Amino acid sequence: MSAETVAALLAANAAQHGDAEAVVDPHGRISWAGLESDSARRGASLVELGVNKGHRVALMAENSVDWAIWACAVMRIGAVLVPLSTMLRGPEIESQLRVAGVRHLIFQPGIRGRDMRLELNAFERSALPSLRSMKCSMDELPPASDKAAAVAQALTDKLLPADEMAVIFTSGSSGEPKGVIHTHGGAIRANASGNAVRCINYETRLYLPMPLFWTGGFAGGLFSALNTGCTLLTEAGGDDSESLKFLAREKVTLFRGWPDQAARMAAHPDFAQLDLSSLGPGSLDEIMPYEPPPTGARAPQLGMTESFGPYCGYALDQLLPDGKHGSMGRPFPGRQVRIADPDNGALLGADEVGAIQVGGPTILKGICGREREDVFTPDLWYDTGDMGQLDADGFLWFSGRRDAMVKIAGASVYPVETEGALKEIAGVERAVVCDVTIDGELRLGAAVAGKDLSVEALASAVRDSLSAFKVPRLWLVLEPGEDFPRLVTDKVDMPALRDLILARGVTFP
Amino acid sequence: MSAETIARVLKEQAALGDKAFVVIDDDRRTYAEAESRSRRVAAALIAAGAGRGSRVAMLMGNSSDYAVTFFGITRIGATALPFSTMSTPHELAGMLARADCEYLVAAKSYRGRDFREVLTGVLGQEPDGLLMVPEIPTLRRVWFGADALESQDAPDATVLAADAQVTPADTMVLVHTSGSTSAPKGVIHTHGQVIRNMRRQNATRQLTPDEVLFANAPWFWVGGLAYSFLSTFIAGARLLCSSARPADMLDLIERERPTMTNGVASTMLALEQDPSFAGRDLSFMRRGNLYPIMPPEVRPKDPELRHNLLGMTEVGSVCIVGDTEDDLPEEMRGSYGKPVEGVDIRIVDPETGLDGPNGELWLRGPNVMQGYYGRERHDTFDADGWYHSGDMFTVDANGYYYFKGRTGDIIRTNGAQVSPREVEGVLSDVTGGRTAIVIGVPDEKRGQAVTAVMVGSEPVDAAELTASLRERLSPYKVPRRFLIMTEDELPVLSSGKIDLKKLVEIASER
Repeated sequence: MSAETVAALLAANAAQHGDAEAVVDPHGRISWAGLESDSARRGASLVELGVNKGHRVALMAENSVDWAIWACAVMRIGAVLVPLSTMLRGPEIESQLRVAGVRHLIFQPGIRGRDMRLELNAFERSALPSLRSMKCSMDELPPASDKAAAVAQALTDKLLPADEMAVIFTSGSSGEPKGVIHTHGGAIRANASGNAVRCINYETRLYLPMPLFWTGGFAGGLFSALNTGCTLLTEAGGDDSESLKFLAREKVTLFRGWPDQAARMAAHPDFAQLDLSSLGPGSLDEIMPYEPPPTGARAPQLGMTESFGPYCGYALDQLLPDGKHGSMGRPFPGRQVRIADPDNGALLGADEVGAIQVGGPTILKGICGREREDVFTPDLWYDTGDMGQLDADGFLWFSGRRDAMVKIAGASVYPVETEGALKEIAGVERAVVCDVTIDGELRLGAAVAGKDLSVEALASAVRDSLSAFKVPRLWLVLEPGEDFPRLVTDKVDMPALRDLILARGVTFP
Repeated sequence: MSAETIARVLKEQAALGDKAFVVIDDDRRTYAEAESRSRRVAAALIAAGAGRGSRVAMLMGNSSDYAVTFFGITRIGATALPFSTMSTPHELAGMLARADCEYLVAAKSYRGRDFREVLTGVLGQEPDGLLMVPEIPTLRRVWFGADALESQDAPDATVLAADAQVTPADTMVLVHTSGSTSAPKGVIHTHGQVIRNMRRQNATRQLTPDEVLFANAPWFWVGGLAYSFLSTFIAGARLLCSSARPADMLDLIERERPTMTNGVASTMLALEQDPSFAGRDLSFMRRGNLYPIMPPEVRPKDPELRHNLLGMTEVGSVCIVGDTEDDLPEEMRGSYGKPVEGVDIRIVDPETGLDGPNGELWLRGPNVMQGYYGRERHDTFDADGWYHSGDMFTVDANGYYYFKGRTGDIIRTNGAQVSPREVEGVLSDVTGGRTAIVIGVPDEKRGQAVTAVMVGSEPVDAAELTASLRERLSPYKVPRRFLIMTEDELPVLSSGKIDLKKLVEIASER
């Protein structure tokens, strides 16, 4: 059986390649043997300080080797890590501490000019009855007594895949922050499912600057390293020039930074002088020397905090097969993905657009303070809130977020569903559907790009496949070569598109 | 909006003031005391470092100490783990370690067992001060008696702040149950699911504030915990328990005048046989199932012609129950009733996997446990979220359910469940590896009697074996009888496996 606890992964990596580097930041590095022994020492000190299995322990710090040691120390003794964003402000910190029932908080004293000691000491502690201690990450730890060390070792030895491992906060659609609970087994299997597709093996030197306190960095960075034994190159971020030197110096093989960061780096004056020949397949196209592939040929990875990172994608060093451009690739081996009717939960067949749901032994255990019935479907699957379809070859096509639902004349309409129907029509290349206000009434509007399109033909084709209330009233067919208005992130600028549809669209019928 | 956490229930019910919520022989406590004493327990727990999510084990019999300890733990969102007072040191060590208990509140003694002595043996040291024991690495502190835990200067604000953070989704309790595998399993239930379930069941069974329920089921198992202790408290009614001698128990019943009864009818035989029984006025007990002591006019003409009920730890107590307390027509003999609200039920043929009138009972829905502690979701529920109970049932055309035995071989004896695997494992240990097959043999008094078939020709000293088993196993798990059978004598199926059905038949004839 493969190792399915953080403790087992740390031990296995230390045993198999103890001298290899585990985590490197611009100021330091630690080997697998070092991570094993340093995290064990800190774990024992935490036990000495009163931390116990199941206690929620928050960590508020920037990406660094030290972050990884703290995280492993907490998780290996069975305490539950609660990574906090360094961007949180006082009331947000209090609210996350409260929702997760955090007992102990470990914090970096200075975060981007903020004096965290001062900020945290200002908290009204009586409103945080669970919080028992706050500890600066830089302060010296008391050495553990022999008894505490033996107890910490026993806690590590008895860790089970079913034990809770971490609570990761993600933006909820409303109200209370959403603390997603993952177990050791669930998280480790979830991350393991994607490492081959993501071109990560034990020789990889993976650059991933995403914050370790969110799933992107925590799962995609730290856990990919734990699962494969690769080296994680991480940094707190900031200066492109420094990052470039860091990457060249550390002989990065897989660049998985942000696309805009990669583009900036490639255009940086220092770029040509630096030796980045270590970069291998799977790295972002923007930083590679070759011509970028056509739009849609690379599958983005689809994932979320609740699935502990991506659950669907396509080999990063390959282009999607013909006919599959624009898809999200296929669910990773070991992942369970299905499409269900968003209204009644009935399972849908191939090529039918519906709610994307994930299930099986790789998804979240639950959400802090929310009851099972409010989190999962009756058969214990998780509705991602995304809409899409699986085709007959098992490729997943993403339509959009379901919370983009609009009420048209009292009926619930998902613009993504109408978009899906439009994209089925011959000649249609792209389509965006949204709500527009006509004479004070909410109606559907559509903007469509493609070849030889007529509003009459489009409307008639949509009417054949969808109920009348899902058919757009206001239509805009883009000129050849014209694109939707877009934001700098390349996402469609919806307010601008709405204006465009209202200005140039034609009413039909 | 009705309360869905223990803290809120306590606050609501404190309005009942001086009304007694429980009477256990001489021990009588009011609703107001439940709130105020549990607040002091909670304050002491907080002072010791416990909080939301802490696992606090309890080793106490039914008592007001149990009640305030349970409420003190759960009101601040810590998890209560009631352990059977019959547990042996071996069993206690196993549960404390596997369930990651941080704290333990034990009675000083119970029915002649000195728990300080027992715990000293379990820990290999005096159970005092801050504990750091690698064998039970989570355990930090043990208290003896709720009074040891009641803080004298309770900072109310701290407790009330802690109360307010608890959500219905938080774990309330881990109840241990014998599984088909060796070790007992901790079954996880949340505040919201237990409280809502009991509120619904109270409406169905008409457990109103005017009722007095007589039920002796131990509160460390789910029947006593949920279906008597918590349900009466939530109803605002009164619970009557007794462990007194028969004549004293009858005195108590006459004095407290219970209107409802619940429990195992066979445990009432001693009362019925008491010389004073004939002269007693017990006319107030109108409803329930302790037939031997109920007035003749409300007794069934045949207990099998009343709905039985099915409870299981995994579904938070009762999950199939009758819809009438009258005698049933002959064709409904043996009915258990219908599913309660909050569970979905399927009957699935274990051979074909198809739904039908005969098969294994599968359950899903809000009343079903969150899981077993330490076990992953996919090892507990199937791919569609169903829990397979191991109980075989038949359902009739009108939707009434009839129990047909177990798919596995769990033994039900005197209201308790025994895992044959667990007993076989211990038998093998104490006999130095001799093979034993443990079965449940039909028994008039107990339902089933735990019976051990010792394989081989050597005789066993039953008294000596019983004594060594009692050191490791709770009394109810220790076999009542030992049979010696050679390998050749064992009945086997064509598959080569031992024919357990046949073995039970042979054992009941010998």
